[in-house]
Amino acid sequence: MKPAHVFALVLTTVGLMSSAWGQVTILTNGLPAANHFAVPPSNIAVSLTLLRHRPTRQTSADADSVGSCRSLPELVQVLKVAGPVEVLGHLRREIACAPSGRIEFNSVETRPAILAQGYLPSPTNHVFGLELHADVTVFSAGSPTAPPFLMLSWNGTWAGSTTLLATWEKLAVRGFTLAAAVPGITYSKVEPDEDGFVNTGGGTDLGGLFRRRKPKDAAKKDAPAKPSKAAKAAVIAAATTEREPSYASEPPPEKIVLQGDWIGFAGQLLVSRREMPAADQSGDLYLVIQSHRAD
Amino acid sequence: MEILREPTVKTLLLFAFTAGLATCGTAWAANPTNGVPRSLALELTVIRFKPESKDQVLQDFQLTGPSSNVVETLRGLGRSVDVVYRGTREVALEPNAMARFDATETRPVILVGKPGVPVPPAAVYGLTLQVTVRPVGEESFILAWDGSLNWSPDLMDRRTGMQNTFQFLGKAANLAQSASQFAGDSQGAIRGGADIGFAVAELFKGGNMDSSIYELPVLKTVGLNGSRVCKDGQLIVSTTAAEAGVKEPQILFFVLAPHVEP
Repeated sequence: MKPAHVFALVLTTVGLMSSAWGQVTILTNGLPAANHFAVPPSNIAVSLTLLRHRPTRQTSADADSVGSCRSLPELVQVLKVAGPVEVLGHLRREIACAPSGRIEFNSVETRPAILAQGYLPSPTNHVFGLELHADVTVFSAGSPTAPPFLMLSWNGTWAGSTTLLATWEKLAVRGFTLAAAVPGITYSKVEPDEDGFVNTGGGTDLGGLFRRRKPKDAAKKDAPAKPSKAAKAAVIAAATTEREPSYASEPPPEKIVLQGDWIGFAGQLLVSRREMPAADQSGDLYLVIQSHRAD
Repeated sequence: MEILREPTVKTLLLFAFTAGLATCGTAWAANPTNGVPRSLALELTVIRFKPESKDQVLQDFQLTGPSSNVVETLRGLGRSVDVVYRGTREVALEPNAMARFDATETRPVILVGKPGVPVPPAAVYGLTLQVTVRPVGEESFILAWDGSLNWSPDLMDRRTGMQNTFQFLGKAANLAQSASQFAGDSQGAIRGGADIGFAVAELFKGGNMDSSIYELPVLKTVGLNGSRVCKDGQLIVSTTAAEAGVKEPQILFFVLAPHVEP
């Protein structure tokens, strides 16, 4: 056994290093000084992935099966057995550690909207997405020839909305064949709707969320008659519920704190699970981090 | 359009970071510098890639070679490849050298005939990035970059003709979007697209009713920062899955290629 492995074993035994699963936290106070040996500047590539998993049963995926995964595709395959998996984000960044460095994983989106009625408040424009930074430290505890350890400390949030995610699913009208490969990821409609809005699949379609649809019975009455443009305009003007802004349907942002520390070797898969709040069948959020030498 | 700014705290931190890296690297390097002045050409390419399959979002593409090869490689793997930015900067390979890649534009929004209706602040689309260079050895140097990209997939997809972006379509999309296809010499097309920025004049349509909601295109902001000890010709690739979940997957590639010139 190499000295570095012995060091990791000791850390694990005394509780300084946890397994790469669940709420990952390390007590760093007891760590030895970082640089027993001079560590040359190291290029570290860090891949961060956010997965949303919705188990078909009440329980989450088996922790042992997840914890034994050695690669991201393997993890996805394991999760898919228990339910649909959606990729909420996948980012790769590089950092030169000498011996440490900070890297940011920021990818957010907003969709501004304007209400034509000046007397009504504008819809709030939430910021959705990932804002997270990670500190990466490379240190060698064994010998200059031993593989260096990596220490990751990350802190940030993922802001999302299970309501929006559900709406995107409803908008997905094409049964894309590869949906079987990665359930939950489907292509969305790219056609103008009846109001001329185009959902390119790139945004949140806030208009679709705010607008109320015409009642079904009213729509049935209108369909066979095929009224003229003037008659249709009069009907629409009378039907105050149609396309009336409904603030009650505005999806509230749900923020999930992502924070933790981890020590391991380059190439190891770090998996941290969080339960997504509130909504039914919201599932679990998996934060997956994998770093490797990029020299 | 070049935007000049006063040095910010972030800029100073970037300098301090590269200085720290260089100090450590110089102590480690056997031959720190040889005193021969050289220049460094930095080529930055930003690519929007629509993969052929959703599984590719998680793929490690391991791209190498010049940026034109990157485009060709991705072209064979996906539905479409859009070069949304390409720029080249020359800097001296000496401490504290810095290059900026700025290409932004603002499209203010005005609602005609709707007095009193509040309008959102005008979004700034485009790329803002600064790269700091510091040599740490005879052949090695440190690049540290910091910036962000504001963009909208809605606007890119709605554009017809793709006047300001160069699109390379994969086989799956050829039938649907053959009018936008560039055939043949992709490298020439890339060269012609240097510093193109974005043209985003479109405001999404609202209805004619007073109760209508005007939606602006989705504004996506991707943070870009990182650093690397590298040598001549080494490709630096950062990726961001810009569209995931249940939506059409898209991946942004930031490809930085340094070339040492004698």
